[in-house]
Amino acid sequence: MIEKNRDILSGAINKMEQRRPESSLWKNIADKLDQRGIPGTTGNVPVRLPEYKAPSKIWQNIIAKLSPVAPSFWQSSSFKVMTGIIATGTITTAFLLAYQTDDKQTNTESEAVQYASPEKEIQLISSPDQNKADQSHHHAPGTMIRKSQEEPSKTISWNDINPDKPVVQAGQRFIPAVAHSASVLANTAFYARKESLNHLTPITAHILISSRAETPGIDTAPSSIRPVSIPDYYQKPRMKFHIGAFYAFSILNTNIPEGMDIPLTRSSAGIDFQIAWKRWSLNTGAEYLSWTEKGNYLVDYLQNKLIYQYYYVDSAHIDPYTGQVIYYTSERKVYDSVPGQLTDVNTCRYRYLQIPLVLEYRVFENKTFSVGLLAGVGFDIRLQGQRSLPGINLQDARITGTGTTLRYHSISNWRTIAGLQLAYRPGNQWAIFIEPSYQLYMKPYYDSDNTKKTGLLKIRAGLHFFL
Amino acid sequence: MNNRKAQKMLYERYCDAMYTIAYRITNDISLAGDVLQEVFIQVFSDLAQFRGEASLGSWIKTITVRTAVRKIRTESTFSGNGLGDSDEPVIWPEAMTGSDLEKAILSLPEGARTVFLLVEVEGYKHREVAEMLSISEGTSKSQLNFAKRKLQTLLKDFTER
Repeated sequence: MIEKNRDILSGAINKMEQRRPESSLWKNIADKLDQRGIPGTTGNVPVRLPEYKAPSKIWQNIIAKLSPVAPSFWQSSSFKVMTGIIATGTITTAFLLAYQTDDKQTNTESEAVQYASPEKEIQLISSPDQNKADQSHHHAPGTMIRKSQEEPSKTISWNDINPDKPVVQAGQRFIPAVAHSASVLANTAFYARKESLNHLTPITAHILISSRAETPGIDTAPSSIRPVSIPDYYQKPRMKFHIGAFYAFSILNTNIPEGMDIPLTRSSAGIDFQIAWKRWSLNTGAEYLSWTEKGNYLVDYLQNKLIYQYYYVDSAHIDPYTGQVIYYTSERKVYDSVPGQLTDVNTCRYRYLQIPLVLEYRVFENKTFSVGLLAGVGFDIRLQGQRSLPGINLQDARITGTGTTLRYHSISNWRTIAGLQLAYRPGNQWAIFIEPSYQLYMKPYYDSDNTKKTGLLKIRAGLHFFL
Repeated sequence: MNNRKAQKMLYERYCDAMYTIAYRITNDISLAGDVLQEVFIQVFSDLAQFRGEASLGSWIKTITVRTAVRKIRTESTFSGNGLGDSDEPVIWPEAMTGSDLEKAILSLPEGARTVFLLVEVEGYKHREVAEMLSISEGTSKSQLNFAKRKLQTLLKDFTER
């Protein structure tokens, strides 16, 4: 229902006057209390009502509610931290991918050319017979001469290079230039690779694809071919599988509903399953989490209470000898249903199964150590939410109503996950890892009335075994 | 024989507030007195069982509301009505005073009056009101909407006079 100028209503409510009962009412109450045998309070105990020290968290709640504009999720520090992590991860990933792609392309294409020694840089110049005026930029087909810097006068011919003989040893991937087909090389800019991988000199394809028949006078400078080993990450990647076990500790950041007592730190354990390909991994598994929450349980009842008792005179007679009146009485008790309320603590024990699905990119990796960025989601399924009711033992009473301040968690929930994984490999077959992460629940943490987004800081630590 | 001084102090501390609630719910001065008397007799009878989880005032207020509602309750007290379902916004008259509002509240039917008092004046939530009055949350909301629409009409009459 839409309600306008509600402040007017609030103002009018505050201005409604308070009523005062008649002064004689207390006398009636006191008389009734006397009549029913309800004792007064001796001493000065109730004169000063008990005072309770307010928990410090109440002040924080008040401050939060007094804020003129409650920060939305998009303005919250959680969102800023997550954005920062994701942005950093994206930039780093893009940079690394770009770097890796260039490097890989160079590696593939460089199979068309041979490597020179570090000291003997290959130079490509035009034939003196053709196009002498433009030796450095325009190279006519079939006029390639290779010269060594150290021995510029000495040249070798195409015939010195045996096309059937690999220029590198078995197990290494370099082949002679002439072994490449024209279809691969046509319309492609190739890079004659210097020993330093950082500096590449472009040459045009048509030079390299010229046949020996067209270039009878070609000379090539001698060049010592040095085998270059291929790093692991250039080898053909294969998919790897890891399994593991872990222990996790988490700190919850949420509003505690009034009248409830919930633990803000929790422990859990589980198993991990990981599929790794190159620097990427897809992590999943199962995690078991259990905790107990407490609330107040209110019981309204009607109890059959003795409200007063008296002696009923059954009969009487006069003693003929003494003249005294003798009364024969019996005790009579009067009961009534008196309403009452009982408060006790009830608990709810939760057991949840959590299934994460997290993508990891290792920004740094060597044989013993790796650092990975994580992003993903987690799915929580409630296995059990068992409420235990307090044992209420009321004699001669009828319960008329019950209530509790316990709030219940939903059957399922989603979390977003962002974090880091640091792994150390003491051996070839296993690794130790630690994984700090921040996780944010997508649905309200309780079934109702808890609007603040609930987050948790989690640290997982465990072992991974490589299959 | 008994020392009632301490109980009297407790009574003095809460009697006005509880009497006001009782009066507003019952709309009857003498019934409100009966309610107050019954409430404090129960409070002093069961004071030993009060464990201090809620404030003493809340505990006494809950007893007051339950006792007052029990006094006025009939089968039709919280039965449904269709007036709360309108989509038109409620606009409170700007000239409304506390006295006007109280008069208008006391003119409401018992069910709507009780729900309005508990939600808007005493600050209970619908869930708590529903538990307290043994009605559903939907009924509580419906009665509140009805109360507001009715109050709007009544207050318009008061302020235009």
